[in-house]
Amino acid sequence: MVPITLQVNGQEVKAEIAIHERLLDFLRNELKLLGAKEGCGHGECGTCTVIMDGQVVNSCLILAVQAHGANITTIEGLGNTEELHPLQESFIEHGAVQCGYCTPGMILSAKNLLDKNPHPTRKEIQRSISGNLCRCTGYQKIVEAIEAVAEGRKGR
Amino acid sequence: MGNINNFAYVRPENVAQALDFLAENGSETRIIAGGTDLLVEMRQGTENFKYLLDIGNLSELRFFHTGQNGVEMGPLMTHSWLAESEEIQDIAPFLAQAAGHVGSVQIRNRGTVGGNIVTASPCADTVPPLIALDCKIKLQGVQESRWVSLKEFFTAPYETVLAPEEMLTAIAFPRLSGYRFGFVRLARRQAMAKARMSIAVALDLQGGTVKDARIATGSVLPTPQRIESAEKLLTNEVPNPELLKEASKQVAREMIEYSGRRWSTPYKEPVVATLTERALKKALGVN
Repeated sequence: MVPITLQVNGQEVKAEIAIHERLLDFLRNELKLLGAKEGCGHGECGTCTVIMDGQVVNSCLILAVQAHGANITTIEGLGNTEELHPLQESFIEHGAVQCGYCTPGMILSAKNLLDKNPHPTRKEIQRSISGNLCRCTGYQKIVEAIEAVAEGRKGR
Repeated sequence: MGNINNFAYVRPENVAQALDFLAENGSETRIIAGGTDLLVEMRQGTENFKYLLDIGNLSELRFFHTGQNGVEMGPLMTHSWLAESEEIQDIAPFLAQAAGHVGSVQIRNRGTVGGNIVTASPCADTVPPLIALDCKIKLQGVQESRWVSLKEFFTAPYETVLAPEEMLTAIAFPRLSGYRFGFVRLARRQAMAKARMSIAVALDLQGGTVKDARIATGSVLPTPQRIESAEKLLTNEVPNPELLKEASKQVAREMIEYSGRRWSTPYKEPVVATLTERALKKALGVN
């Protein structure tokens, strides 16, 4: 077991972890943050996406020990049922959520884009979510939901 | 993660400590930087090592210098950085473009250029442009270091001349002033798809004549290579459509000469030639 300290959604977390434990397992099993999910398990579907030190990453491709000292944001850090993040509201309004499995990853990829580039083109939006697979709504409504936030049609 | 072997995790504080560790345990150690390839391998349960040496936080390996002569950078520079760096876009636009094709945003944020090189996959996106740039890499051991030409680094798919006690610590290439660049890759789709074949081209065009031509391939031969016989066809010539076609066909001929005619050849032969022609045309700015 190895000790790690990291920031998760603004809170300091100290833990003892197994060496082979992935960041995804740590978030889900130890911290009970169930927004990030395991889809493919090898970095192709993006449903395990979290923001690490200001950049989206696949938490299934990072060992928890590698996140020592890092600052992690998961979907749980964005909003809650009382106060939704503008992207969460917009996804609901645009019907950009169907089964919901990809949604946390999609929203985090979108947030990461808008943090860096508040007024992206449609192409840039598409590119920003190209590492996130959706198998039910299709991407049109998701792109529109992100576009609405970028254009200020949703308060940020 | 299922089917995992027992291994110990080692986090050195600096390059010197990492090299000391490798000198003792190199043959039983895997180095992890971004981990985007290694974690896939570990998930499959095929890894076989005693120690995992994490160099991901070594700031000594995360640097970028540029001068009149060229570029020197650390192996931990990420694909995202390469793709977005204005300096790389200026000095070697085809390298930025190739890095921007790796995996997804998430993968590019973690995956490093050093990892792309050392993993030695035949389809590594950044390698053909780096070879066209005449890239050299620094392999460092405790006692000595050596600079190796990147095109001589690969010995077979996933195999290199890197010794167990050595580590890649720097990547350098000259500034090719006035050159024009082209990169073309064939993949099933734009995002999240490995390159089936890729071609990187650098051309020095002076007064309409090609003074220097460099054509580097990915996934065409077992290891990334320069195709000198095709380069020669272009050198000291004024490019015209026939010449470009001929040089492109030469790349396909080299492939067949190496691998023989296989079941895939009727497909690959015209595709390799067409990709090369497109890369040359891109470099020349013609359609």
